[in-house]
Amino acid sequence: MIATDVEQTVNRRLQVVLADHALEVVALEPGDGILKIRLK
Amino acid sequence: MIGRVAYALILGVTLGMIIAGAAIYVTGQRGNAPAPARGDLNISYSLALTVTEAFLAAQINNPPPPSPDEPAIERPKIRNVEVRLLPDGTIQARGETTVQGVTFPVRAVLLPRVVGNRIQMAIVSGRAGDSGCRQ
Repeated sequence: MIATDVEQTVNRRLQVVLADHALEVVALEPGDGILKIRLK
Repeated sequence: MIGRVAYALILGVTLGMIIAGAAIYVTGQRGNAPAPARGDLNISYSLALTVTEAFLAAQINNPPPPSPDEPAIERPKIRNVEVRLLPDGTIQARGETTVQGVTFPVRAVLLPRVVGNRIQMAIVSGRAGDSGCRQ
């Protein structure tokens, strides 16, 4: 339940931002302390 | 006679504990970890967002209100969340929550994946409390 809550919170924020700007995710570049999200 | 009854009771309790422990162990096991899906790094892109640990922690500590079409479910609030973004792509979130007046630590490990040009968060593991209750 806790993990699901965290997952839903993070996912909801991301999807709202992406949908608002009609962006699609191309790739993810994880790093130490950051996560780069490539969009087009 | 009393000795046999006591022996049977002890044997029954012991067997019950072993069977219950085995059942909890088996049902508590999760499947394989979700496979990474980072998309295609060779595809051209027009924009790159850099998400930081502080940004993600702020999002979790201040969750957006549920949309009107979501069912109203009262869930424990997660507070004081700290997030670590690791080079392997996993997101580790630690915080605390309070249920019926009792505060205990919670921990979740998520793996963001690219599925159908969208991001999906796969749950790698989740723990609540020091005893390590698995979700």
